[in-house]
Amino acid sequence: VRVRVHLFARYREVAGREQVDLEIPEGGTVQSAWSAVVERHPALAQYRPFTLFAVGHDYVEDDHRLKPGDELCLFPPVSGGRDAGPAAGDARR
Amino acid sequence: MDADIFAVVDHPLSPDEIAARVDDPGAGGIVIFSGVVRNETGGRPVKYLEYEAHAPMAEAKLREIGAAIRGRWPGVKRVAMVHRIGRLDIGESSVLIAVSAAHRGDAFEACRYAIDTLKQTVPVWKKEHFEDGEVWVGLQGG
Repeated sequence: VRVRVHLFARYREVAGREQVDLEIPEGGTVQSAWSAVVERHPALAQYRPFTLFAVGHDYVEDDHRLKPGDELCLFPPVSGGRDAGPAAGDARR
Repeated sequence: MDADIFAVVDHPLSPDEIAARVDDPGAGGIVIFSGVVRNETGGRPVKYLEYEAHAPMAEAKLREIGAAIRGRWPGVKRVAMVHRIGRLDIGESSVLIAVSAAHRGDAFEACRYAIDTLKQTVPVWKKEHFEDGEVWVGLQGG
């Protein structure tokens, strides 16, 4: 199954590219694609716990099966993380 | 409803313009939220910010937030949500949300819901630039 993986923000910088084309086994999942990307760009491995996955315009879980031609997006945490509420900011002071 | 606006743009945002977009004869109040670039993070002076988005998905997620608002607050008349990307200086607005409603309670609640949900679901990232470095917000170790 041929899939295209798009990298954003920090991930794009770390990998030094915006997209990676992959061939994964039939029935391959988002996790299979992640593993294949990390094989080529090992520096991304550390971000696995924070990573969000999307296909099309929807977030998907790592066991989501990829179809031929799917475009998978790898997202760092979206930017609200640290600024979600006044409590988070106040706690730092 | 088709007048609602959900967009990712790369130009400065205007509160007047977004207020005009939610103007409605049935509205009794308009609430506008403007997220602006702060000059420090945890006491560290910030020089400027850089925003990046997956624009088509971000606009789809903004649209979903608008639909959720309409389901939850029937008194809401119009919703506009615009996120800016690219380089932003201190004090500039990165996001504008405007909600008009028959009564102010709905407008305040829906606007609060919109920004809180945006921060959780919309694929936008920001990089803080300091005098001595830069860091992507939300990722440990930058």
